[in-house]
Amino acid sequence: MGFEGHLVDTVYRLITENMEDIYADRPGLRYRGADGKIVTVTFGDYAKDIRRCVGYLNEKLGGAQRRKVCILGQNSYWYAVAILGLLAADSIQIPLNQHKRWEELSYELDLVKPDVILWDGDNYPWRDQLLKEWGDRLLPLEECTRADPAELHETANPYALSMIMFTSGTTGRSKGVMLNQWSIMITGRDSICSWRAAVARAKEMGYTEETFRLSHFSTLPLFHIAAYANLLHWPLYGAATNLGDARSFYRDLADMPSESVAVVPSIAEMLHRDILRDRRDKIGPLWILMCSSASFSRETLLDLSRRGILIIQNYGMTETGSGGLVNEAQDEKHIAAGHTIPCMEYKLENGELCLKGECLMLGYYQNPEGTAEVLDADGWLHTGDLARIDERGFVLLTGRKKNVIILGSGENVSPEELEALLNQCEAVTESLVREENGKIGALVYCGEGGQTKEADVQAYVTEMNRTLPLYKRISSVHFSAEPLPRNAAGKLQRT
Amino acid sequence: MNRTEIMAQIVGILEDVAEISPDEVNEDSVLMDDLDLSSMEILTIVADLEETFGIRIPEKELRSFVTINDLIDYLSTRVG
Repeated sequence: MGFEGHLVDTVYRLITENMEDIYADRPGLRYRGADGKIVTVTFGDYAKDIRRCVGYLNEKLGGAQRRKVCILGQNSYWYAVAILGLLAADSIQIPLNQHKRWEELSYELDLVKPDVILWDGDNYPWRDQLLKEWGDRLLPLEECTRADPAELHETANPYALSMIMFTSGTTGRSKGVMLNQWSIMITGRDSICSWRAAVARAKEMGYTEETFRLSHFSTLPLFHIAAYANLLHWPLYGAATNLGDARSFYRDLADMPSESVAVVPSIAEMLHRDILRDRRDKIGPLWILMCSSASFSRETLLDLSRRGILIIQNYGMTETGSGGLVNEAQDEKHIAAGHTIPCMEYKLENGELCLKGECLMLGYYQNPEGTAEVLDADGWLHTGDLARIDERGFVLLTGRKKNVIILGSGENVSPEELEALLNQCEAVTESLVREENGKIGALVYCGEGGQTKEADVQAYVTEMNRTLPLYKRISSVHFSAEPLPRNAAGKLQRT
Repeated sequence: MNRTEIMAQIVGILEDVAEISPDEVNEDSVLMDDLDLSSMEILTIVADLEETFGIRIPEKELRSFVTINDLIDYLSTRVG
């Protein structure tokens, strides 16, 4: 495999140089096939399917350039091929979160008005609505390789809009983050920061240039910027991506042994428990944890590090296009911190971390007001995270300025959205939704003499949870005997 | 398979995945609240149930799983 990568800056070069030439015979992607067996695709064959996908898109769309294509489905080989195919075809892709409720998906579809939707046809709760409203634009994702391989061309403009990814807004309505391929590719080049740390550790472990192997396991959804960016970054180093599913995490990990795993806090905690319980058999040759998407417990990271796991952290948000902060320091003081990457500048403004650089989003889709709220005239993105910077230049996050709950699963949830649902319960006078140990908790006031109504509220929450995706469920309800504290402006006090 | 046997399988999986003692689990236990399971752990449990019972549980059913009883009800209709 070798200790060096081949760092290119466009998707065209990634396909034609890395996949079709330098690493052509190496495993590029592994996944579980329909018969349950693991399929290994070499980079060369993967690239051929990407070319077929470009051919398919050109055929179906009568030229795919600048056309808008949504992707809706579980992680799969075809999903990965479609992502790269759409980039190679210079289309605009919109990977959507299939776990969302129809109202949200429908809002996003109406906003972007896709030319076609590639979907996996699974039995989703919103299947009937999708067929009714968008039936004439649906194409089966699995058919995207059923065409002759197309001729590829270097992109006309790597800075042009090439993807829209939806992120939760503070008031519930999601916002479409516009990114270009340059953003993802340049952070790939700069992720050499963490690659070097992995190589240094590999050398300590006794690997040589010839014996060094790295396969990266990811169950994070491909509509999420971290998984999406990984798909484009690992081929820079000739490392294989093992595409798993969160639902079959351990089975997939056992069948696709991996040295590196992408994790959110709840997965890191689960793996930590396995190690503590002496169940390393469940995690195979794993020695690198790529942590992203939410704050991790410093104690857990330190303990994992002491037990031989290399902790690499990536801090970023969809708006930073997979750029942001990187960290490979393993010491007690810095393990939960981060430092900048070459393509980014950072500063603190009233304690808020602000980032600037080529990888930032182009703005929110059809939402100039929303864009102006986070991206100022000088190009600084206001992250909404409070931070301090220590004497060695490490950034340490200290809290959130914006009212968004970031859960252990990495999902962002707007408390107002859940409060609005809770407040529909007759027994609830007012409510406050907040994060409690990585999960969602609610504080409810039922009015004077409200104790008698508490059972009604509990029952209401149980039923309400049945209508929500797993990650949005309220896991505990506490009751307040007093009205909830409000600030001078009459807003709920959240801290 | 009857409800008691299904319950026994669930209890075994809970112990393996999240170290929850069988004494702490009853049919009314709420997965996220009483048993303090994360959404990731619930997914792992569902995957283990799929393997144990040789079935595939569709995505849309996941929403109805709030208590242990919900799991037993569902599994009874599939493997009962």
